[in-house]
Amino acid sequence: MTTDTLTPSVPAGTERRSVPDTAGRRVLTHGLRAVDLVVRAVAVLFLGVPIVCVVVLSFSNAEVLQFPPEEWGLRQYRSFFGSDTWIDAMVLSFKLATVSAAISLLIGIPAVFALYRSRLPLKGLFQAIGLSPLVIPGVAYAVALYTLFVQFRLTSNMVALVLTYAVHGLPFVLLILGSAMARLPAETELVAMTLGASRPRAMVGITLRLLLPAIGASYIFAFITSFDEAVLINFLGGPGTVTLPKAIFDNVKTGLDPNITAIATLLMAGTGVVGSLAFMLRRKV
Amino acid sequence: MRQMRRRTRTRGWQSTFSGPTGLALIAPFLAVAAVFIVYPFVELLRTAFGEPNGFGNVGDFLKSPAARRTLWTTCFTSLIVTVIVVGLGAVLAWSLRTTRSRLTRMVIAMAVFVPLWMGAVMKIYAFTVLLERFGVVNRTLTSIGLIDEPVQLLRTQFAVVAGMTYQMLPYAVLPMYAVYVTIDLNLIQAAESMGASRVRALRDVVTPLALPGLLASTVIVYVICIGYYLTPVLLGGATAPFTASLIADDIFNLFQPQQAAVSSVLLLIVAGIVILGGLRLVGRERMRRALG
Amino acid sequence: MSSQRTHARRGMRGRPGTLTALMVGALVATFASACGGSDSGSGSGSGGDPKSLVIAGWGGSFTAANKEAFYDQFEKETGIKVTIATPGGGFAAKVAAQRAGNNIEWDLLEAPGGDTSKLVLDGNLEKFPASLVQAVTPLVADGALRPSPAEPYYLDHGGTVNLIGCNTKLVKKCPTNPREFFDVKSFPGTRGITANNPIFTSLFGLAGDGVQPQQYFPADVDRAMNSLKRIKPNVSVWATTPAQMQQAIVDGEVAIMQAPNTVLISAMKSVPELKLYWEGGLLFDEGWCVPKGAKNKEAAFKFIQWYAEKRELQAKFTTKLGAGTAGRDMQKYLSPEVLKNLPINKTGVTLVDGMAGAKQQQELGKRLREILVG
Repeated sequence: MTTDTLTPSVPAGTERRSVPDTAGRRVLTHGLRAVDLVVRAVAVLFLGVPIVCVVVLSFSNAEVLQFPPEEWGLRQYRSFFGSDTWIDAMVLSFKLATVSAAISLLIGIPAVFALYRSRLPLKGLFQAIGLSPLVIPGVAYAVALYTLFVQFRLTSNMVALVLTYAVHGLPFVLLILGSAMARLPAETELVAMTLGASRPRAMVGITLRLLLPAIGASYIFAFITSFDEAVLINFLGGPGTVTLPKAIFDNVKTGLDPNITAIATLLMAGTGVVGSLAFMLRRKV
Repeated sequence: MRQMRRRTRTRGWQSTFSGPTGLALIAPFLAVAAVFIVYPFVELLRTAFGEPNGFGNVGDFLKSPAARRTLWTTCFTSLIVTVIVVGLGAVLAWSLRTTRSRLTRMVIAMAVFVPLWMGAVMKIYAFTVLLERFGVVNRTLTSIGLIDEPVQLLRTQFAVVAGMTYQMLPYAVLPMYAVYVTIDLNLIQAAESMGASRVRALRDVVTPLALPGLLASTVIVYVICIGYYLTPVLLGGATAPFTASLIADDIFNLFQPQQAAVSSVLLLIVAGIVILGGLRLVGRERMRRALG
Repeated sequence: MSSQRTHARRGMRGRPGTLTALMVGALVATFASACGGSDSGSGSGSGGDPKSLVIAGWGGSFTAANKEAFYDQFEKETGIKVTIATPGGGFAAKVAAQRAGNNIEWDLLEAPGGDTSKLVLDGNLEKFPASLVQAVTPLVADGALRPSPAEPYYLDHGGTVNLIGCNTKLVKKCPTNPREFFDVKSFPGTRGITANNPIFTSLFGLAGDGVQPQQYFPADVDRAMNSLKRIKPNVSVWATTPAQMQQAIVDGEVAIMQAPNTVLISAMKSVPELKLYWEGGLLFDEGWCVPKGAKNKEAAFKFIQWYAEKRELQAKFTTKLGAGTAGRDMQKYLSPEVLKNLPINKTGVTLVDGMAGAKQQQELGKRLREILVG
C-alpha cells in the first residue's frame, strides 16, 4: 500500500506551530490528543490480545484449546505440516483468492467507470445488483446458487467457483472504488486533457492513479473474502475443491483440533512479514 | 507537447463517457451478474413469494415471536457493532494517515491487518478462550483483584459485539484510509492558519471530505453484520441467534426452504434500506458541496 | 493547485505502464489458473462410470477414519475409484435440491439418522435390491436394515448416544437419568443441553418429564416444550456444535451436560472427573444409503455389501472412533474394553425412531425455537 506518494507530503512540525495558540484552543487540542491516544491504545490492545493468545496457543502440545497451555511443544505445527490435506487446502485457497480477486477488479473497475463516468441509464439498478452478494445472507445466497450449480452441473467446476468468488468480491470494488471515485472531481481528467493528454491517457494517468489506494483496498478485501469464505464452499465445493476454511470447518465439526492455531499463526506471521517488508521498502516521501 | 495540444482542440469537452461506451465498460459485469446474481435472486424471490400463499408467506414469518425477536436482535446488535467499528475505525485510519512515527504507524497497521488472516473460525475460538468462565480475561481480572468471582462474559451480548467488532474493524479501517489518503493534509494547516482550532479544522475541513467514505464504511459494516450467523450462536449462545442463523436452521433442521427464503428477503430489504439511505446521504452531501 | 498539475504529469509518464502490466499479469494468471482448474475439477461430473463411486461424508476425523478403514481398501480390492465429497451435513436438504435440479451428484452417503429418515420420508433414497438384502442379512445385527427389513433403505453403521455427563469435581450429587437431570432442586449444578437437533432435545424434555421411551412417539409437543421451558432458567449452555459442548465441559462452565458419547468421552481426557450416565440415553443411528437416481448406484450397493462382509475392518473403525457398528456377533472382533463403551450394549439406551421423528421434526423445531429464543 504505497499510497502516501499520492498526496503532497507535510513537512514535519509545520501543521500546528503556524497557528497562534490561545488557551482555549490548546485545551481543546490537547483534549483531542488525549482522547485520540486512549482510543488508539484501547483499539490496538483489543486487536492485539487475541493475536497473542492464538500465537501462544499454537505452541501448546494439548489436544484441546486450553489457556494457559499445560505443555509446550510443536504438536500443532507438526500436525499441520504432516498433513497434505492442510497444505493442499492452503495452496488452493491462495490460488483461488488471487485469481478471483483479480477478476473482481477486471470486471469491477470498468463497471465503476461506467457507473460514475458515463451517461449509462439504470445505474442505480446495476449498482444494486452488484452490491447484493454482500447484502444477502451467505446461507441464503448459497442455497440460491446451489440450485444453479446443480442444474448446470457446475459443482467442483473450478471456473464456476472462481467466478462465484469474483462476484462475491465485487461489492467491495463497487463500494470502495465507487466512494473514492465519487470524491474525485471529473474535472481532473478534463484538466489533463486540456494539458494535452488523450482521454484514455487522462483516465489511466490521473483517475486510475489517484484511485490506486482504493483499488489496492478493494483487491485486499476481495482476496480476503474469497480466502476466508466458508459458507458457499460447503454447498458449491466438490471433491476437488477443499479450501482452507472448508478444511477447518470439516475439522471443527467433529471436535476442535487446536492445529488451526498453528495455521492461523503461520498466516498471520506471513502477512506480518510481508507487511513489514512493504513498510521497510517504502521510501519516505 | 505542442503537437499534443493541437490534437486536443479537435476533441469534445465531456467529462463523461457516452451511454454506449458505458455499456461496453459494464458489459462483463452484467454478463457475470446475470448468471451469478440475478438468476439465483429470481429463484430466491420465486421461492419466497411462490406457493402456497404468495406474499402471505411473510405472515408466517411475522407470526413467530422468535423470528421477530431475532430480526430485532440482528438489526440492533449490528447497529451497536457498526457504531463501535466505525468510531474506532475512523480514529485508527486517521492515525494511520497522519502519524509521523513509523512505529505507531506500523503497530496500528499490524493490529488492523494481521487479524484479517486469522480466519473466521479461529477468531471465534480465540474469543471463546478469552471470554470463557475460567478464560484469560476472567483470570486476569481476578488475579489483579478487580473482581472476586469470574463474571459471565461468554454467551452474552457483550461477547457477540466484541467478536463481531474484531472481525469487522479492518473492513472499516481500510476503505476509510483509502479515502483519507486523498485528503490534502495542507488543508488542515490552511484552516488553522486562518484561525480555526484543530477541532474545527477537523470538523469543517476533514469531515465533509471524508464523509462519503465514512458513510460507505458504515453501510458496508452494517450490511455485513446483519448476515452473521455463526458468531452470534457460538459467542452469544443458541438463545440469541441472528436471522441468518435461523435461515440455516430452517434449511437443514426444519426443512422449510420457503421460510428461509422469506427471511433472506427480509434481511435484503433491511440492507437495501440502509444502502439506499447511505447513497442518498452521500449524494446530498456531494450536492451541498457542489453548491458551495 | 500546483501540486495537482505535477501529479497529473507524473502520472502520465510513469504509471500507465505499471498498471497495464498489472492487469495483463492478472489476466494471464486468471487464464492459466482457470485452465489448470478445469482439468482437476471434473471429479464428480463423470457420471455413469461403473468404475467410480462418489461418497458424500461429514469430513473431518470421521471421514478420514472411514477412508482409512474402508474406502482405500475397497478401491484396492475392486478397482472402483472412490471419490470423497464432504458437504459436511445437510444431506437431506442437499439431496432434495439435487433431485430438483435433476442431477444427483453423490452415490453413497455416510449420513446421520435424522437425514436418512427424512430422505426415506421424501422418497429420495434407492431401495436396497433383494439380492443385497439377502447377502447382507446374515452379516449384520438384527434390525440393522432400516427403517425396517421389509423397507430396506439404509444400513445402520452405528451412531451416537446423547447421554448425561457429570463433573464430580463441581457437583456432589450427580443426576443419573433425565428425570433427575430435570430436577434442579435435588440436583443443583449448572447445566448444558445439546440443541443441534430438535427431535433429540424435545425427547430429552419428554424423558425429563417422566415419559417412558415407548411413549416418545407421537411426541406430545406441548409436554416436551413445557418441560424444556421449566428447565430453561437453569441451563447455561444450549450447545449446537461438538466443539462448543467440549469447551463448556473443559472450562467448567457447566457441571452437568447432556451430549453425545463421542464428545463426552473425548472431554474425559481433560476432565477425568467426568462420569457418564447412560440411563435414558437416546441413540441416533447413522446409515449408508444411496440417493435416488445416483449415477453409480451399482457400485454403491457393491460397497454396502463389501462393508457388511468386512467385520474385522468395522472392528478397527469402531476401536478407533468409539462409534457404533452394525455387524453381527461383533464381540468376536472387538476387545472387551471397546465393547464396554459401545452405545448399543448399554441398558437404558433407546434407539430413536427416526421415521417418527422425521414426521414431527418441523413442528418440534418450530416450537423449540420459540422456547429457546423467546
